[in-house]
Amino acid sequence: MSSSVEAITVLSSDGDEFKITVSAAKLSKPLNWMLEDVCFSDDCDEVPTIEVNSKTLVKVIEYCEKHAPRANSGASDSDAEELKKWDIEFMKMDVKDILFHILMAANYLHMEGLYDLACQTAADLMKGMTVSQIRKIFHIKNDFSSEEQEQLRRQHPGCSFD
Amino acid sequence: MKAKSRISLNNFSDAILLHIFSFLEVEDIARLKAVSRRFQTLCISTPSFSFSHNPRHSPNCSCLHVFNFMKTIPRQRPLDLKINLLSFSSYCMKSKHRKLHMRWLCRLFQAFRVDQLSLKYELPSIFKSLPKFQSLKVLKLVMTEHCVSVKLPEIKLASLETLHMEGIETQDLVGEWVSQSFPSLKRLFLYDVNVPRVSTKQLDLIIRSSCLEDLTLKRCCGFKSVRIITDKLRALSYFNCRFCVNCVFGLKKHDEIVVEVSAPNLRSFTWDGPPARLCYDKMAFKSLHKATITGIVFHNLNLGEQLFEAIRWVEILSLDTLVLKDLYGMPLISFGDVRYLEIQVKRKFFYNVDDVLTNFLKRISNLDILALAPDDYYEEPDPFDFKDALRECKKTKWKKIKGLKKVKLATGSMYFAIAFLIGMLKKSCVHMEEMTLIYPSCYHKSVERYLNCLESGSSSLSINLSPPNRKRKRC
Repeated sequence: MSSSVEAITVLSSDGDEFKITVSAAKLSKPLNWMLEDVCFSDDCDEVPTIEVNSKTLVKVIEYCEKHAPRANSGASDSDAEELKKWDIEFMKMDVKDILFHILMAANYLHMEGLYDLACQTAADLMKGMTVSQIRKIFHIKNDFSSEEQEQLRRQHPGCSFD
Repeated sequence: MKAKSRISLNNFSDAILLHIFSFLEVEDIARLKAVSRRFQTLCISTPSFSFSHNPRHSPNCSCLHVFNFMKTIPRQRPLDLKINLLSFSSYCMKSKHRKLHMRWLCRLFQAFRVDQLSLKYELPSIFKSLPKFQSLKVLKLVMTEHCVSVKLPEIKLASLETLHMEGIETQDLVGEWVSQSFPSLKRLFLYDVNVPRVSTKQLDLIIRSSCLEDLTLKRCCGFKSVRIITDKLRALSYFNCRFCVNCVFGLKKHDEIVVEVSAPNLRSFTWDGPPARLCYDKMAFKSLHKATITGIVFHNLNLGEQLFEAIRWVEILSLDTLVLKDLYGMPLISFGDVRYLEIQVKRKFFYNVDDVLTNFLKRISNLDILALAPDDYYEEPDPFDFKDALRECKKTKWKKIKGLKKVKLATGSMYFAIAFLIGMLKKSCVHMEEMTLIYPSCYHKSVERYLNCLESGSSSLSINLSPPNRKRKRC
């Protein structure tokens, strides 16, 4: 990796250009491999594409830039606490649609912290919901026959289905 | 992926869904089972089951719902699929429910391999069942509500690698029990493990597990002495209590407790709280690489000296990281090969540049990174002016630490900070790469003015300026 590079440019799947600092890009394993590869040396102008749409990539980069200083140097407990609060705020802004895109992007980019955070947020959304609410919000088709459904209702009398 | 396309949970792979499920409680998972066929299969094969219910927070228990779901698991889940984590914390008011909970827990253990078990509240009854859990690797027992006096059961769990016990009172010999019951134990955490106050016995806590690599003792008081004698130990953390009943009522004085350490492979050592009487042999700290010491008040200099005398690693050994926090006085120690030094001191200590420089820096020759952060830095009025500070800095023999690469400095006295940096740079710290200054915002102008003096310094140096993020009284 050329040490003179401080930020790299990547393309989203929609073709938009994004800048991401080297230290932030290191949070993702695939990006880190790319960094070590030739593609970011000075004499190469090819811009790599990341298979994530622009709207999602903006959020992913925002997360990376925020977390990069801590991941690189290690930080005190008060910083960690502040970061946790930031994470909660960060996830609040998302509607479910973009949350799923972020989750997939984090999985694809091998970003453990963001992946856990997104999974936790998705899980929190499911807590306390009725079965039909979950189907509606997460776009899941009910593929049980009516007999099976009746049986499930009998097995779980305390559980709210509608 | 298009921005507006809607992703359904069904688009996700099993691995992702199971990871999401791992953040859910059993009662939520049981409900997801009725969502679709795919979910039904996944719910049964979820890697972890956790159930927590506190009757104080919600009086209606969901126990029946959970029982109905857990009943189906041994029948429907593939038997070779192991369970990563079983976490159970409940104290349902209905004794019938408590029995049924124990039954499904035991049934899971009979049918599947379980790696981790985490239990809260239900300690005494589960203790009797422990011998059945033969595949267990991690065991966490927590009694958060109140210490309960227990009799430690006779067991043998050869598979166990990590044990975490919290909030337990016993008259049995904890240390001996641990080493006999769990011969392969690698990590041991004992928090609030005490001798009952009414007990007239004088007990020792003796840790002798031969495979132990990581040991944390937190607020384990009431013992006459603590002896740690283990060959493979690499990390030791000792948190002395400051406010427990034993200490507040003066039942046990800290310097009456003898802490004996014999661990020749120890690499990291953390000490928090008032010092005890430390015993050691010369080999005890020979491999130490990192030490963190917090909250020792050196009003009694004998104690301070004794402790540092005891951990004289620096002279003997390979210590390369030393973190000192919340200290009031400064012990005279030599820093030999320390490469990372972080000092967070109370301001009283920081009056005099000379103190810092003569007592600390001249003892350091191989330092790479230095972080100085007095605690109450911007409540203190400026004790020097720039010229004084600079004069002090010039007196110092900087050549000794010319290899210094990074400096992080937080101080109430900006003049001092800047003089310090100029002194270092102009004298001999030619390898300096990065400096971070943390300063109160009222110093903005003077910081910028004096930093101009630095520009002639090393060319590859980067200087970061950041105002403190903690909000306190304005200076």
